[in-house]
Amino acid sequence: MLTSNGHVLDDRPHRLGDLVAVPDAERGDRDALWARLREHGYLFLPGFLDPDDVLAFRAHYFTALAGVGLLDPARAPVEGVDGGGTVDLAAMRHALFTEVVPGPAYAEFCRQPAIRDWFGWLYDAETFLHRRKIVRHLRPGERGIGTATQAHYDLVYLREGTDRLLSLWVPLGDTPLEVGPLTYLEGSHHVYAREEAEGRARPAASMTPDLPSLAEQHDTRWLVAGLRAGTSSCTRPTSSTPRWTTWTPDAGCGCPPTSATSAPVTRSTGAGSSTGTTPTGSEAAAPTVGRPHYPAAVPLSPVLRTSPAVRAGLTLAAATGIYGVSFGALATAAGLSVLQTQALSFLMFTGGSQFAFIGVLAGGGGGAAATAAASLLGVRNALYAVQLNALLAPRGWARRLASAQVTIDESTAIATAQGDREEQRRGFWAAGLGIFVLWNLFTVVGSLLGSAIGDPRVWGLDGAAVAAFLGLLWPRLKGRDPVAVAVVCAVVTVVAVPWLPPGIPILAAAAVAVLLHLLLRTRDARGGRR
Amino acid sequence: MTLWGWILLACVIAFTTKLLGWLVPAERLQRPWLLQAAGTLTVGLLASLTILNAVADGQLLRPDARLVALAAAALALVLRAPFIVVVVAGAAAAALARLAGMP
Repeated sequence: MLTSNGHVLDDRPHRLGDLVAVPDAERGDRDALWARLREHGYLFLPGFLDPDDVLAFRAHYFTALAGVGLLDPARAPVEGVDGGGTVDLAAMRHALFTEVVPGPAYAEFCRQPAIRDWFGWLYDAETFLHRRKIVRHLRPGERGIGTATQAHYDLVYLREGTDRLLSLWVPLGDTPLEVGPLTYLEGSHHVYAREEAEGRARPAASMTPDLPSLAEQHDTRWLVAGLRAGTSSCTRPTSSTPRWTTWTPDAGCGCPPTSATSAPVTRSTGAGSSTGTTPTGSEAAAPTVGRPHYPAAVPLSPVLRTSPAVRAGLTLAAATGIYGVSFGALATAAGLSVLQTQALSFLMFTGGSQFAFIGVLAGGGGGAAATAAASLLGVRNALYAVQLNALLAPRGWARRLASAQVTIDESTAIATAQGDREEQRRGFWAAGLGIFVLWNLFTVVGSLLGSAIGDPRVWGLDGAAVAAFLGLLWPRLKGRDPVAVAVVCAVVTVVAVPWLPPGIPILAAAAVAVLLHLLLRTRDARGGRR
Repeated sequence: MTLWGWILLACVIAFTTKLLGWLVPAERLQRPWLLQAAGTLTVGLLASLTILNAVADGQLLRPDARLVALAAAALALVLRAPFIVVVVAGAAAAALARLAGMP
């Protein structure tokens, strides 16, 4: 049984098939390869690279991670045998981001002649390495939401670039099915081309972690293959865009991972251009004419342009931050000084609790009652923090304290709505810091100007908040179960509002969600889906 | 206690509440079943926040222009609009509904 992000792939023949390798006769025929790309959206190329080169980089990768608790210390790093112990996530992140990713070995591996020359030949032009490269591994048993990449098309990463782009996926070592290589939705490049032609191309975002429903939706198959070291797959990411995902095996499938239990996969992208001209599109696609360019990190402004999470976070920050005006105005009206009002926005920084605090005071209540109401309303933030800590695992006290201060509805919502770890992190900080800054600025404005500006509701800003939360929820409503959970939780909230103090209905909905999750798991375990 | 005292106490409680969640060791949380549960929890919380922001006013249920915003946002999402368009559609719908005299 194959699963991805906890969803079981339907293994009937009309839903699951094999990736088809390019026949030997076509391997040297450029026109045949392009025809194949247009028809299938991918080229599956066993034996593309020298397995020794691949294994050398695999050894380098795992050697760099030797001290983080990932591997069995009794085995050679190149084997990549999982030690089953606790991984020091901070140390692993440090090794990956300071050593492996920016290091010369990775750059050399991505621009090795076998890759560079092949792209040059295929395009019959000078080619460039795209700056976006990904390398990752999965541990045995890692199969929850957020561990595998969601279904997506590479436009997510390569947005606003030229359509003369191909992605190359290289399994760094033998990657049999049970280790979790990657999968491709058959014919999906036609789907995207059609959507684009009809002017309804999607915004760049992960599509869904629910692969089975995506295959249902398009009535097509997920294509899979066990991969050997040296195999490569090549896809067209933009103009006719395929959908890739990695998947993880289910520990209950009866095929426990064997020697190659941690299998890193890398992807590099060759961007083609006509000789002597700059490829059209953003700098992300064409950093330099005439020579390849391998930056270690993406600077901020392209992140702003290319990261859906950052854009969503800042959008929500703008919509929410302006609400500081009404808080500032109401707080001074309730009898607080400008400084006291600002202290709440700066130190308490959780809108619901702040409004509750001044609401009690305005209603004639005392400081103790105000504090109790605000504190009760803030309990959900602890719940958010537990969830965010599982995703982001911040390193060091300073970062942890800062993370705590910006743990609010919006930053949690943005972070958890992303499928990719980096995006989760970026979204959290974009929304959290963005709202912190704007909320405080607009609190000053509100408390100084009072009611002179008028009610922000006239400008529909409360409607903006509703829309933003629905926009975050929407992509998660794929399949029957999430819809059922959403409907039940919404109903529970509405029913609870008149009976429970503000802030508690959300906790009630959270409890019901967990209960529903347990019920659905029990149903699945009883054979409803397995 | 003075008002300042209560304000600072409430702020300390709010921050401590947030921090407590971050102090649960992250390694303990890297479990597939927990991450799956977190996924379901997120759907529940987002649904709750959406409807709460659409109809609730303290402990009152107050259907008003925000429901129009909710409908407009849903329509925008059905039409596959990007996030920012969805948000703007929600704001515009609520503002127009209020202009038309809706509470």
